[in-house]
Amino acid sequence: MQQPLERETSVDKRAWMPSTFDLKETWFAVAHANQVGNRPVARVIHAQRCYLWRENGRLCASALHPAEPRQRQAVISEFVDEQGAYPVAERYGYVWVWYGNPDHASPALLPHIPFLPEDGAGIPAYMRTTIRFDGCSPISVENLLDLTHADFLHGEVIGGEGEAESDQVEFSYTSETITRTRIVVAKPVSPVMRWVGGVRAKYQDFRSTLHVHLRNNLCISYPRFEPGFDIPNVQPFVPSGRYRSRVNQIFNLHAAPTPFRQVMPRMAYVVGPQDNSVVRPQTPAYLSEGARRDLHSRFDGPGVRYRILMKELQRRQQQGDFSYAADAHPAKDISDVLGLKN
Amino acid sequence: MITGQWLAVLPSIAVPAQTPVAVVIGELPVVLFRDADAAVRALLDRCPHRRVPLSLGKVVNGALRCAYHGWSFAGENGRCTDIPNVGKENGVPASFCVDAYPTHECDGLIYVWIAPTPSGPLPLPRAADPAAAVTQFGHGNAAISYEHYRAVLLDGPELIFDIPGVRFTDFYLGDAELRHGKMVFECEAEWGSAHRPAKVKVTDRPLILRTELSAEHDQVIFRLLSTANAELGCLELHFTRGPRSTTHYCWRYTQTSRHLTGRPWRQKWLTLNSPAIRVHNRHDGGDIAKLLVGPSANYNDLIAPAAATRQEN
Ligand code: FES
Ligand SMILES: [Fe+2]
Repeated sequence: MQQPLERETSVDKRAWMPSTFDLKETWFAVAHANQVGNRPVARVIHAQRCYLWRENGRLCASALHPAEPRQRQAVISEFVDEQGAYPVAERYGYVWVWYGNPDHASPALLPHIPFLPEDGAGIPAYMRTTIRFDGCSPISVENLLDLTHADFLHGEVIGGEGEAESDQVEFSYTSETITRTRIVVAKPVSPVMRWVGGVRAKYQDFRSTLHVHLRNNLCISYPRFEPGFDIPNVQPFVPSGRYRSRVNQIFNLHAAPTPFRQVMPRMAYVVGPQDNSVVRPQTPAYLSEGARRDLHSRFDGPGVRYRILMKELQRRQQQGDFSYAADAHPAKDISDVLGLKN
Repeated sequence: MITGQWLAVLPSIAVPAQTPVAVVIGELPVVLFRDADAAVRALLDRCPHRRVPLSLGKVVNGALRCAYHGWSFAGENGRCTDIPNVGKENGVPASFCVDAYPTHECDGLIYVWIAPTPSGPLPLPRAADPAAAVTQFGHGNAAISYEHYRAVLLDGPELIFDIPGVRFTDFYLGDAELRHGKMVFECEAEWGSAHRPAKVKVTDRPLILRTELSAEHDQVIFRLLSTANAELGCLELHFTRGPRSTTHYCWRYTQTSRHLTGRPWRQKWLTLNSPAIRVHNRHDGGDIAKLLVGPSANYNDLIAPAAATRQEN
């Protein structure tokens, strides 16, 4: 983080074209589990259509609608078996669909989310939201990694960090993840926490960790406020294609009082469109390679690293290497990484 | 990219103080705003940090501040003057900048030169008429390509604009000719509604519409004249390539009296609530398709050679 202002370093051999990423061999949290019943629902992962439904209590995921005739059982895509079925799993209140060679799918590769119940039991509907972003997923991930935009885009909702006693950002990474932690000491209590959460103190400390799985744009956040509440939440950005994405967000606010725990998830519908207002026009601006390289400030360290890691993953996959390196098994326990209290 | 000429892109009134305005010239997104001295500035409408349109931002202390992370840019040279929290002592490197384009504002129109330094003359605005009783401005994008828009201007001005109470005809008085670097020709016009066909049994029509298409600039001047050559109204229309084969246009209209001099009472009454002019932003494809070819057939012989030298500037 100490490096001076600079242009993208020479590590970046090619321009940054976020719409071109199509990383495979990963689980996508395509739907809230409570949205999938006996009637099929349609979802899209990287432009692949996927129908989800339950049959006698069994979860099904298929490239074909169950009512579609099955005669033409020619291979539908490389992502499904001869029946047109995707590997599917249910965990943490989500329905996960494997995007990659179906033979390689394994529940052992499902990511670890320490603050959600594995069986998804007890997650109330009000702790779930679904937001659409009119941009490609990597641009949304950059937006989450980036902290300096909050004052400008989300001023009224969040804010106050500017007046803190100290504000530090750290990040670390593996070949498959990037983790960013922000530690703020003595910032004014945020408006939502004061007025809805009833936190009467004037100042609070704040530590927020964001852990990103690169292949599936899975963003696991663990913000902790003291005094105040923890707001752990998951944002899996599922690319609809190159230009749009959909996020099924789940919060765990069991430690927070009513009405804060009901109101907080709704904030996603305020903050999401604010982020979308920039993500949307950014997407077409990143479609061509001819454009000038982006400039970076010293606050862009995590974002610049994210670009490098994504390009490296893409390069490996283009060479046919889809394996997970030893430093980054997706199911690795991340409780410590997130700074979870026991 | 469109270079080699000053382009009138917007009327001055379309760029208020404090609010940046986006316009696309050719395929190039440009943002216009007013700095601390109210001077119009033009920058590439794309933040060099994360490519967000600068037109989503705000003007703060005369600089344009990006909506996303608050980087600020000076209008005169595009230099990034502030990155929040970076601290003035570290400074922002001089190389941090966005493309800036020279601007010029006169007689209610804003001109932009799409290159770092201008190297050509401003289009001669039709001498500003201090006595004008009516002045109107406008701008828009026509869903028709630049070349065809120019041809329609010449062959069917009634498809481009309408002066309520005046009916243009395509009865040409003589042929198009080159006069002072402009392609000039005249048509008869008369009092009446544009929606009704021209009268057949007329010996003398009381009005003339003179079209003057500049070879040097994408500018056309239409003058509504009496048969005694007195100017009643004048439309100065600038047009340039817009994105996706549209044509961006920007215009200024002046009229010497509140009601066109000599307009019969019946027309006066019928047009009481009409604006002095309407420049259409929607065009009927059927009307354009069936438009007879007229003076546009002479464009190539008359002024294309002059226009071509301009493009190479
Ligand atoms: S995108 Fe403009 S300041 Fe970051
Ligand atoms: Fe945001």
